[in-house]
Amino acid sequence: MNTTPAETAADSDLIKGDGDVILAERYRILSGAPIPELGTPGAKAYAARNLKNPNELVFARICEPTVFPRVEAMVQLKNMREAFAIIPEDWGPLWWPATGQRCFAIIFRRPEGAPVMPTLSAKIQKIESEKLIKSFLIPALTTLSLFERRKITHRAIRPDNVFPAAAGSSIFLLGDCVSVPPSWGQSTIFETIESSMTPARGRGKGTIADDLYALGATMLFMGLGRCPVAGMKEGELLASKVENGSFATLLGGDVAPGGLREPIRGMLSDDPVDRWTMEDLTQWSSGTLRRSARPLRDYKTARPVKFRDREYRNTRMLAHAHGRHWKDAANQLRSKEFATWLQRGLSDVALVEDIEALIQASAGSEGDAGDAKLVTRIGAMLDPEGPLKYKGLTVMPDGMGYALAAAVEDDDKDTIGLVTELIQKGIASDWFELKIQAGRGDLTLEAKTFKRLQQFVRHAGPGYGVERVLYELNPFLPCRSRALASAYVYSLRDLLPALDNVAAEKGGLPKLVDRHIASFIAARISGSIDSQLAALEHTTGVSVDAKIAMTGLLAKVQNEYQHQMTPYLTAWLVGELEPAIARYHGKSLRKRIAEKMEEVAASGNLIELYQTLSNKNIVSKDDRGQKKAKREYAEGIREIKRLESEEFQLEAKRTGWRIAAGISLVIGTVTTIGVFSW
Amino acid sequence: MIVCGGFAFVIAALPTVIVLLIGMIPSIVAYIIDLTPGRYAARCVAGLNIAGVVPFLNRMWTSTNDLPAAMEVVTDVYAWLAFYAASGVGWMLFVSLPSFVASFKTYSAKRRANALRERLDKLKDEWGEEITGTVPDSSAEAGSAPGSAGGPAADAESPAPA
Repeated sequence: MNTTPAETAADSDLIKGDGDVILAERYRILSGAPIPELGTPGAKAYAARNLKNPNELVFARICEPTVFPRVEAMVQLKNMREAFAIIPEDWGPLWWPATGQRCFAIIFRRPEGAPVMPTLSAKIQKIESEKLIKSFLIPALTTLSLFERRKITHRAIRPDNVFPAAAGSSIFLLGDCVSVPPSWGQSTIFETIESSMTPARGRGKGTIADDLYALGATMLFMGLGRCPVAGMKEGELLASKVENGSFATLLGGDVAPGGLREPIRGMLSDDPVDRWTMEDLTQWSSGTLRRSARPLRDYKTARPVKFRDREYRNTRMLAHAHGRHWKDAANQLRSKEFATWLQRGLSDVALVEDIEALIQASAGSEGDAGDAKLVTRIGAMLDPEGPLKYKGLTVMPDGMGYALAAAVEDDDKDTIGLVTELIQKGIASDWFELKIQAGRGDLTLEAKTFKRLQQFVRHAGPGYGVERVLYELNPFLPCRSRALASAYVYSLRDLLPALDNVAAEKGGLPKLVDRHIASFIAARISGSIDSQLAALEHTTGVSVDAKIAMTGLLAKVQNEYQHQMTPYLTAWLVGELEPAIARYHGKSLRKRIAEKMEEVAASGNLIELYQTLSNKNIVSKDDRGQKKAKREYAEGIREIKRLESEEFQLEAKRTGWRIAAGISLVIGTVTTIGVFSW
Repeated sequence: MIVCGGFAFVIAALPTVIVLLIGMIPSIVAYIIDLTPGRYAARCVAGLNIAGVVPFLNRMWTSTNDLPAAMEVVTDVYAWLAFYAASGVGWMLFVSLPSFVASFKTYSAKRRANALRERLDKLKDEWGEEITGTVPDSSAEAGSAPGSAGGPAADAESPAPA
């Protein structure tokens, strides 16, 4: 019986009968044995076995199809044996029977125990400060310093994601942080104020300071044996953090664990400049901390300001409210009352002058675009640490990629449009410039990235636009083309086999020129594809040129992975590209090309197919041939007309007369000479 | 001067002039009645007419070249037969040869035209009706020129064959 590649791919993962799945020919994932306590929102946990080392305890997390794990972090964390954290052993997409499509699976070494706190609302026995420092803080610092060295963050430190290292061990391990995007399932309890203001999808990977904040909160709750704010609503929690500070809010009236008050307070500082660093904590734990007092940034206002029937005494909350209601905010910013409040309510003279200058400069640019830009820029001034706020969208700059990915997944056109606008109009770049001017030199690279993305968004053709931004910002995001919806193609290496499977199963792709596939290739491929993208841009997507250009992109991929022959895809492409043959002028050339395409269809060689249809030499030869044929035809017609004309008949007669006259003259001359010489 | 010289020559060579004038009458007539461009009839007749006159001039010049001898030639029925028979052959040449040549040339032209038609049919078959200039280029309707897609990509930038 013939089997399609799709069947073989599914069979290679799935062991028929019991529904278990094999990953990387090494791990058997038991789909019938879920482990709820090791799961996380967006990725369920299942029992797994290491087939090559049965004694090793492992478990697997299967990411939901719409949740994209942090593959870039996995690559960094693999084999980081010295870390006190649950790190990934292996990973990859596989056919998961429960979802009926390919999902991303990650194998972890299984912790020998339950999480320290099963849920945030649970009460546990208080962990003594001494033990917390030795068993949790110091190992966590070691782990985070390793993370920092590799420029990654954890962003999932919370008590229900902390595990004992082994049965009876006094060391605690940080749980997994790669199954879901950064801070995805994280409660705002463990997030800084600026991060809490941002929806989980737009928080981004953050910095190690965000991890230290979460570590402080986790330590606090482990020391208290409970989470005093577990039942608080997110809005109330944020307001309280802003008004009272995170430390006081999270304590919830309790007393901080003895001896830990100072570091926890430092880790929970709401001013990132004041927040304790890794170095501070290391020094503190070794008893040598010499920390000089740093001036705290004051966001409090001298006078309250009213906005939408609510009084604000803090510029951060005001900026947050402005971000959510940007049209009202623009009206307020341009009002005389606000100008008066600026003079009386803010003590920072330089800030007041900057804001006034910006408002004055924006006079005359009223309207949606001008208003939104004004609110965004003033929001960044009122809350320099806060997220980017634009037309109701709130996002951390490094979270733009995740936010866009989530919006594309949910088909949230508003958010997609806003992200596009942010990049296209240079608002994101301007925002970065403001931050860099304010001393955030570490954002220079991001500013450059967004400048580059601006160029991509300005082009409308396939391979550019918001899809290109999506894949540029999310280097491991699977291709979101509908054709590959169930295939989970996150690496360029998997693209052609997946497309071949689709062609084998369904007889072809839904459409050849697919914006997602084009952008996915453009963002991932190493070589230059400008000519193909240019050809795509100037076509409507259904023309033969566009199809050939798209084939060119696929050929580029095959050129990178030359062993990947795609017979089903190529055969379908040959059919799709048949009209391309008609564009050649010469019949025999067309026949030769058709024969060549038939040959190529069987071989699965996309490069040859592309070269067959876009070879410049053949094209110019064909053009030359046609021009020559046109000339020859015209000359032939003229010649036939001449041969059949009366003029030709007359000329023939004239020739006869000339011959006759010649003969006569010759006879006369010969006779005369003969007679006289005889 | 020239007229005087010519007149002197006619007086001196009167017998020869008489024979020539009488003998070349068919050519003179042909010259008068010939309406073809280039007066090919006269040329054809004159060439052979002279061939008929020359033997009698030769006979006169080699014996007695006087008026009685000239009169003897112009009154000789065989001489007249020679003059007119030679001229007749000239006329026959003029009448028959051009038709023969024209027929031959027309036949060759027909063959060449047929060969050309075959060649043009082949060209049409290979390159389509477009080359006749009577129908628009169908390849232009199907899309732009081949090879413009990613241009090729084809040479400089196309991936190397596997």
